[in-house]
Amino acid sequence: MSEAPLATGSLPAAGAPLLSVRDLRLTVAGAGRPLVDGVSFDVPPGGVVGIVGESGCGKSLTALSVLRLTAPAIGVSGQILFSGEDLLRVGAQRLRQVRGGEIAMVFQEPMTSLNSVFTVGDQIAEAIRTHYAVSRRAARATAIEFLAKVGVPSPATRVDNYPHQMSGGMRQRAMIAMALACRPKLLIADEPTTALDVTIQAQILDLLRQLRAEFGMAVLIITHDLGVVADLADEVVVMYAGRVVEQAPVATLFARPMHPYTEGLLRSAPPIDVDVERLPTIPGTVPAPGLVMPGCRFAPRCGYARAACDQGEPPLIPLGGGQRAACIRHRGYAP
Amino acid sequence: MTAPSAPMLQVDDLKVHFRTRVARAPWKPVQVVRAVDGVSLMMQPGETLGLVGESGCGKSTVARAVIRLLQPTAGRILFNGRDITDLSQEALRPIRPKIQIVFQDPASSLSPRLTVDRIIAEPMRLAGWEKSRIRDRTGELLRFVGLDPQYAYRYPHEFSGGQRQRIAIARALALSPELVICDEPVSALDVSVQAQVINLFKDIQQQLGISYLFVAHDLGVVRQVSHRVAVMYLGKIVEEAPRAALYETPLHPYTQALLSAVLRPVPGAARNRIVLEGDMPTPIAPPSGCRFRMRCPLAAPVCAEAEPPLQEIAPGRRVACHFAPDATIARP
Repeated sequence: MSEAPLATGSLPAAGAPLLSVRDLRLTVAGAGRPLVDGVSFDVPPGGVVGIVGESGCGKSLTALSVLRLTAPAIGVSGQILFSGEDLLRVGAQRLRQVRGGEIAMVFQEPMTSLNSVFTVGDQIAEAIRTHYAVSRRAARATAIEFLAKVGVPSPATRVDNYPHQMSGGMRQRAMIAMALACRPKLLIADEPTTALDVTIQAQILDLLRQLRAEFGMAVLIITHDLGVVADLADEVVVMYAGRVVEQAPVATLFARPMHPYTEGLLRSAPPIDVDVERLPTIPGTVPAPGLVMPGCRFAPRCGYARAACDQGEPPLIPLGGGQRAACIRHRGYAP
Repeated sequence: MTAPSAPMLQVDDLKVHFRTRVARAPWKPVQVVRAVDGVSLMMQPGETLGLVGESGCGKSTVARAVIRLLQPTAGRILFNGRDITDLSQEALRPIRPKIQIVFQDPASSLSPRLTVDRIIAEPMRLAGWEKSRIRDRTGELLRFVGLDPQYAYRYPHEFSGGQRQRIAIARALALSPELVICDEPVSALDVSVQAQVINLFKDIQQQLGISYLFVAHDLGVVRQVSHRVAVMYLGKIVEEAPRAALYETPLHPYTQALLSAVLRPVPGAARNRIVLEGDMPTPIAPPSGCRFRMRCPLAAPVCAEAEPPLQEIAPGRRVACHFAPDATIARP
């Protein structure tokens, strides 16, 4: 596209994060504890950050709140700094420029996020024309170009397909084409491969890696699958019951997990290359969303827990090399 | 294939076809979806056979046909030597207690309006058991699957996903089945809970000696529960082998690609995976010859001309590829 974008965002200073989430807190009136409780992390320009955790840990809510897409009943506090600008405090017009323009999002189920009564090409073109002053014809040409880029076969024909005429993998590619067509600086992908088969998942992850290299865009990927994180992310944020329990560069996290939850999660995934007589498990279940817990939320399921663990929320303790874990065991159980 | 002992379950050339019309186009001819198109299986008592494949390959349809929730179009199903393919629902009733099923989503397979004790008692009530015997057995089953019998009077929504799946398992075990069909029983569960339920399935088998036909798409899960594994693609079995052999030396190009596409929780591990092009073709019009040839990096002209039969190339190892056992896809 040769036209200048309508959206204007200031470039971040060198070394500054592209996205900086600070002390994000999501609350629902009447619920016991916040759904997301003091979450902070950074995404550097061109970097890939993965948020992992099991259902209900707040990872998807965190992703949605970056673009202020959470339900109105949910109270949001903290800061979402995008190139230094707090998205929680910008007006509706600026927010519209950011959504889909500078930050794009891909969801888990492409069938529910594509509109079934418009062709895929119309939907991609609409996204382009929302953010760039281009003709219909030029927008359509760009749509075909991006369908080709994401590996949709015969894009000039497929552009006129309705979503139901495409397979699941192809719909997810179309979603990604739509997200990329405005050349966002940040792509938020919420479980982008969860609904797909393994062979298609491999195609999509390869595609994301290749597009990241080509466009230099940053990616925030939300997933429950440790394999996806190991494959794609540079930096990992592990969430449990609304809080960040561990943060580390990807190689460090998998080689040397320092939070007992991360350790348990890594051990309990059924391996494909060895036979295990009994899989290691994490006993018990995630605490109910309303339950207020004074201390560590993982303590009731933790093999290392001592009385001190119930005495207050454990802070994220820096452990060197960019790794931090919210476990007071690393301070000799001192509160 | 020579069986070491009498097979408990034998499936011969099973076909399940569905006739469909094109939506809102009644003038167009009826299409036939060949969901399962010639599957043969054999299971011994106490054994777990894993059935894997991607969505649409027909693995769940096989499971449902075996328990006669779907009527086979052709082929035979023998349970303990008895042909049950065309038995009437009435004639099936004495056999039903011996073959039970656990579904993927316990939220939809457990009635939200019944308490847990009523859910578990249902099969026993239908079998005409006395009330006191049902009560004793319900408590015993709950303890057996790791739930506190004092929860018997709660409703399914009061339990977590993993606990609900334990309730579904308790119901399946109520009448002491010989075969339990498991259709993606741990797919809806989080990793930490999934491991607990997989261990429970193994414990139950060790104690009761029952067999599982375990249908799943997760190759790690299937490896950890199965003795033998069959891989399906577009309505057919393409490879079958003892689990270690299948995972360590996959012979069919599709099995090789499938295993290499699985993401391992090791950073950088999957960089040399085989990435297949395209999607699975539609089972309405499967390709001629080998059904995998459209995506197979090793496809040759012979693959379009003749369909490779599922041949036994070593004891217990069957593979359907013209080039087996020498078909190996080069890693990038």
